[in-house]
Amino acid sequence: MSDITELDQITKAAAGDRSAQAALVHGNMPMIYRVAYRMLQDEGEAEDVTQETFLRAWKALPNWKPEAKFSTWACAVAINLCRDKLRKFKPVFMDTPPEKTDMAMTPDQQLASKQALSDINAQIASLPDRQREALILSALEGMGNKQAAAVMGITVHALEGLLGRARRALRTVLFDRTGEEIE
Amino acid sequence: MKGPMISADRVLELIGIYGSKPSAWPEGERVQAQQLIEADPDFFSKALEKAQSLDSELSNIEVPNVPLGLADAVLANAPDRATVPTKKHFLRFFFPQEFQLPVGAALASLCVGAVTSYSYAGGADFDAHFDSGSAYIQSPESSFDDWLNSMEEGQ
Repeated sequence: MSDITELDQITKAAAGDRSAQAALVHGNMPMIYRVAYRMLQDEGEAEDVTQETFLRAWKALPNWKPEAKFSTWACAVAINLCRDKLRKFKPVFMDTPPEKTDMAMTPDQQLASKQALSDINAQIASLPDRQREALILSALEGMGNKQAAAVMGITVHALEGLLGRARRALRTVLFDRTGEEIE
Repeated sequence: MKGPMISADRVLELIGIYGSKPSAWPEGERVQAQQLIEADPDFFSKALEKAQSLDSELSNIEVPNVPLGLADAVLANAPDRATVPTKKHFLRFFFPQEFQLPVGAALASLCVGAVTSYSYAGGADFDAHFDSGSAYIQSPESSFDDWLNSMEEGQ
C-alpha cells in the first residue's frame, strides 16, 4: 500500500501534479465507467458521464474536504449524472448485449447462454432505478454496504431493502427460465 | 469478547439481500452468521442454494471494458501546473519576488533605525555632545559636574 494518503494525492492533483492526477484517474475511472455503462447501457453515454465526473472533480479538488473517500464522491456524482440522463431519455433496453463467445460450447449451449445473459441483463435493466443502482453498486461492483449507501445518499437499511427487492425480482427470471421453484 | 448475537432470521435476510457468499455480507455480522450456518447447515441450505443460482448468473454478466483513450481524454482536461492559481501571501504585494524579501527587510530596518536615532538625538548637535561625552569617558579622573559645566559653557 502506498504511503501517500488519498488527501496528499488529491492535494497534489489539484496543484497540477500529473502523476497524482493519473493515479486518481486510473484508480477510480474504471469503476465509474462500469457503473455508468451498467446504468445507461450505452458506451458513448457512459464515456460522457465519466468525463463529466472528472471535470467536476478537477473543479472540486482545490477545495476538497476529506469527509468522504474520493471514490464515493465520484461515484455519487456519476450516479447523479446517470439519473439526469435517464430522466431525459428512457433508454431502449438492449436486445443483444455484448457477450463473450465461448468456443467450447455447442451452438445450442451458446444460444442458451446468450438467452440467459439476455434475460438477466434485460431484467436488471428493467428494475426500478434505485433497485438497479443498489444491485450494480453492491452485487456487480462489490461495494461495501456503507459505501454503496453513501453513494446513493440513503441509509444501509434502505439499501438492504432495495437489494432484497432487486434480488427477488431477478430470481423470478431464473424461475421462468429453468422451471425451478426459487421462492 | 462476544458481539451481539445474530438471529437465524437475520442470516436468512443476509443471504436474500447480499447473496450466498459470506464475503459480500456486512463485516460486522459475517463471522456470527457463518458460525450460525455451520451450527445448523441444513436449516440454511435451501436459502443458500437459491441465492447461489442468482450469484452464478450475476457473475456471468460481462464486465464492461473501459474504452481505450478514455483515461487520456480525462487527463487532458485536468488542471495544468502552469494554469493552477497559487495562493499569494499578502507580503508578496510588497515583495513580489521571494528572494527580495530578506534584502528588503534588512534595508527597511536600516532606514528605520537611522531615521529614529537621528531624530531622537536632536540632529547635528548630537555630534558635539557625543564628542564631549567621549572626552568625559576617556578622562575618568574628571568629575561628572566638570563635564556638565563644560557642556553648559559650550552652549
